[in-house]
Amino acid sequence: MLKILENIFKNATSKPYTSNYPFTPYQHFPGTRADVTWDGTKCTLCGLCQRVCPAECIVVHKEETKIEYMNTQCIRCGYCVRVCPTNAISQNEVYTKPSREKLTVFTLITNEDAPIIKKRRAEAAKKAAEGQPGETKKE
Amino acid sequence: MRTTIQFGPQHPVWIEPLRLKLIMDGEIVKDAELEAGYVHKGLEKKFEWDYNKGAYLSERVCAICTQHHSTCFCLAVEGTMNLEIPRRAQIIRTIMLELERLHSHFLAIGLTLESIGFENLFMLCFRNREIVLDVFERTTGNRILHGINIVGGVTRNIGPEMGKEILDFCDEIEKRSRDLEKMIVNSYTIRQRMQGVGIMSEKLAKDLCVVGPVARGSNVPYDVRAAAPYLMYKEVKVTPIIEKDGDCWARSIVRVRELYQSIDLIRQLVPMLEGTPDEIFAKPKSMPEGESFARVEPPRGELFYYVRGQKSIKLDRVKIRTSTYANGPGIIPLIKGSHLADVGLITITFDPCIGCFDR
Repeated sequence: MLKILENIFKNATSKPYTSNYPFTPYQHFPGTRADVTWDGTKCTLCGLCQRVCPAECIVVHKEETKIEYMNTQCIRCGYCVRVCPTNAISQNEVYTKPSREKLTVFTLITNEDAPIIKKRRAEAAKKAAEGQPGETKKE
Repeated sequence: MRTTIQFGPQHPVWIEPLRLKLIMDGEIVKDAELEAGYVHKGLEKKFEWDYNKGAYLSERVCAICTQHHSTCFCLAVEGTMNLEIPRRAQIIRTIMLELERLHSHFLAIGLTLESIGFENLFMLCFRNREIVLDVFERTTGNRILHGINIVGGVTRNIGPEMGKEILDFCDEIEKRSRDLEKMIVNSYTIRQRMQGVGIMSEKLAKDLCVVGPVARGSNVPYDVRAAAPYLMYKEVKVTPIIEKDGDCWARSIVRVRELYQSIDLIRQLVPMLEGTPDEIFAKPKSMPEGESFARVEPPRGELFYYVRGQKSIKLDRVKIRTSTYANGPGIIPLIKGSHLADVGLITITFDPCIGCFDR
């Protein structure tokens, strides 16, 4: 009897164990593996992340210098982060909210050292170098 | 008059689909038929790809014992490559395995209590399980699908601060489990409901080759951690916990006593991290070649992975024998002759994981 009274008193005075969810959002611990983002200034478009991804949620578009990341398909394993040679991929600690539509994120790569961008720049420079003398000859 | 009752595939006792066709004579079950295969995913075929991705895939076989599945797969693949993983990685893997046993047993005890109508105690069990999941989130980064096991080691280290946190957690969880044990084990009602129901004799257990707490509840001291030690269990000795009665109560008491065993093992393992070199990953030098197998002891019983490599990054064949697959045939003889009201209780004390069962 005494024990029951003690328990009743303890439970009546203590705080509720559950959190007030929609008003106080759930706080993840530091180091949580969540969404993946690309750093456009570091990526070299090597395509290693596309090859290792177990969920096949990364598509590297080399021609358009873009990376397609299907957020809702990703399993947050962190394999791409581990494998990236230039540390361009980082994993943040915030989850995307659930949604009805498929969420796809595109990242435009602007790295000067990326082989494709380098090649294009060289080609453009070559064209410009060839084009100008050609024009002068015609005239 | 005989009537046939379809027990499942959707039944509140189980979370996952499993069908029992019961032929009844009044309240007594005369005959039973088990049908599984509702969640067959064809994962064994999918395993014939890159072995590095296989570690992530193996976690998806069963959502409760994810760490055990990926550890077993990695051990089998490392066996084909003759790869020795660093000592620190072994310790971290073993700590994670024991933490997972804690949260799985809390789930199993909670579901057993819920099936006999004690929903409050089920919630208390899940409240305790939540702090185990918090430790997982702090150490590995995820609550259920940890993804820290890879072929050759682990991806995340446990530093001295985290080690201290885990030891503090051990004190907290032991205090809470003692409270819970007092409530459950000393309760007259629960004991009366579960004692003498679904008795599996020692001979039957040996005949059907059941594993895990089901076997240990029937006085069969079989535990892979003691019978064929792997990882750190070679140094940390485990004695199998056995109960003699073989009924639902004995099977549940084995789980309750294993909680304290796991806490004790974690307390022995965490100080071992001190002084070991910070190396947690050994790069594989060769491709998987030949065949190998590994056995581990998940919370539900023995788990077996067979791997055959073909000297390329892709594996040739992976065969999984899960614990529920071994325990499944044991359900039928126990149900025969029992009351309809006991069917749910008997099956839930086997802790069935249908995701494992069908793969």
